[in-house]
Amino acid sequence: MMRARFFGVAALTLTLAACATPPVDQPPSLPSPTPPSSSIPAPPSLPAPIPPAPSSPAPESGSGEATTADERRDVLDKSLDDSLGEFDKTLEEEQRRTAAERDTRTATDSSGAGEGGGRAAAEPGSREGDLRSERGMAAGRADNNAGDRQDRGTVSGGSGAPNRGVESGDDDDIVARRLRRAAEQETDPELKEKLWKEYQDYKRNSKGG
Amino acid sequence: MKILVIAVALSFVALLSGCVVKETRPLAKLEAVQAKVQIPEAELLDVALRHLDAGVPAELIDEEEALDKKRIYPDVRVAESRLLPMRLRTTLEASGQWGAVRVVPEAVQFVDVVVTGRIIESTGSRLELAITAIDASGRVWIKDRLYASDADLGSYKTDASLRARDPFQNVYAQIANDLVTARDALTSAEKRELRHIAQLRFAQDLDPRSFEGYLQRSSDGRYRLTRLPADNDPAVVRIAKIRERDATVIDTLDGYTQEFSDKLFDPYGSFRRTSREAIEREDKARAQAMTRTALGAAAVLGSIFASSNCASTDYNCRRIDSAVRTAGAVGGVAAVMSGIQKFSDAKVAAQEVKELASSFSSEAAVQTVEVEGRTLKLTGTAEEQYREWRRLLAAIYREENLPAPNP
Repeated sequence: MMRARFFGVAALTLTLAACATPPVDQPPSLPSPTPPSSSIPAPPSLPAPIPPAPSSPAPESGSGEATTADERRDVLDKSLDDSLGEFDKTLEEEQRRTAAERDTRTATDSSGAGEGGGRAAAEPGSREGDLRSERGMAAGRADNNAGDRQDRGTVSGGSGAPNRGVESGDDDDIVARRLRRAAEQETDPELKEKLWKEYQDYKRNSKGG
Repeated sequence: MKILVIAVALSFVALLSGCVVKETRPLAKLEAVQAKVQIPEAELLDVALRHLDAGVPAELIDEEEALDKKRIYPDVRVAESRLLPMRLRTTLEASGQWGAVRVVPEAVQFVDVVVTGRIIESTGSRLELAITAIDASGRVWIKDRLYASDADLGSYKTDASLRARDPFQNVYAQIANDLVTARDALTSAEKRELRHIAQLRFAQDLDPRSFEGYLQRSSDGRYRLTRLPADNDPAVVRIAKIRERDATVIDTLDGYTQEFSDKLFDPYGSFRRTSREAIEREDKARAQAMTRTALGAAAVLGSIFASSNCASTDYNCRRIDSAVRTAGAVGGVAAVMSGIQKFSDAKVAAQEVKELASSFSSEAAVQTVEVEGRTLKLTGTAEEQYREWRRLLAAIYREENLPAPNP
């Protein structure tokens, strides 16, 4: 008898649970919280991801003093831009670290062997090829990214910007940003010089010169 | 008597078999077809080269001896799963036929063309890969096609020649040329559409409701473009911003693999060169061992069991017969012994190959752990960000599509 009552209560609980109203902010057609992935899926549990840069808290559907739909949308847009900006910083930090490691290793290789300097140029997969594809990709997508200007993090000249009036890079578009990054990461002085020149030429032309 | 003479001859042949010099001719060099005209930006397709499947048979994963026999060294294969696509990337980039060419983990999707593959055989002396290429619309360009080549020995001559040309450059050049052939089979409109499809699939993944209806998936699994969103559509602008970050993530991941490849370039080249020499010694010794043992055994058996044609009273004939039998038997035994020695030499060479692989594995393992760790960290971070962006985009969509308030 007790058991029958227990099952009865359990069945009632389940029925009520199924009738619970879903949260308003969870539209049924939205992707699940852990979707199959956009470009990058969730990795296995180890190691822990790089702690994401603290971004401004993202409102669920507009927040604070925003009252109209447009205002709430502007707040959300700003949150998205802030989040993108923070992510830029994470990526730039990571790229700087990689470039610094590469510079250190190249310097070690060069000092360790008399003919070591030729390796980077002669070796398959040298950065000359990187730049070519960077250009291809950048140019291919330049149109799509036309609207993206204000939220881009700046790339500091810490990894080798020459002291001869190179602009800050605050208003770089994607092509300029990649040219700048290639120039910063380049360790061959001659090629570096050419890349900076190309960057400056591009900036001049893009400003309507 | 005739059989006896043959037996003696066999024992000589067996003993001399090791003296034959096998001439190795240089391979004809195949080059990737270079772009002769500038390809319009809108038709310049990006290529993602995924890390290769290491090709270690699951059923042999714990059978070290069986893997050794097949010259499969799992840690080496894991390193090669990143190193070999990097060589293909260099070939594709140098051809000028493509946009961005990136080596990426399996997770990366929504690129114009995605190339995957499996290592069938990879030693210092031979490379065989199975390659598949599929574009963003789901069209299969190349399906599990085998690409194989012996090593170009010229590349092993010096460190400089090894840097100048990969010993298996023919394999990469052939893959590159097949990709170009497949791409050239598309019309200009199809190539442009392909780029739109890749972008819209990316957009749909992040913001499915805003980008609903732009693509249609047919029963064969192919995506087709139904219409394009307006360039100034705010949703397009937002996705373009995220797409740019996605490209940077892919660049960074590719940079990790490039770094990994750079660090292992010399050790891997040296491993392949030295192991090829040991493999050649092993194969040669094994072939000689087989020949000598087989012919030696035949000579001994011939000497023992060949019937005599001498009359019982022809003592002279019987003396000669006996001498020939003895010579055949002695020669045969010597050949068999020599064959056994060659088997032993082959084992020594095989052990050498294993030790070289073990040495390279330990060097590569450190780098592999590092690159895998960094890749996982970045992909984990990126996924967290995508999750947040998906949520924001969904919220924006809701705000933009709220029913107008009643007056």
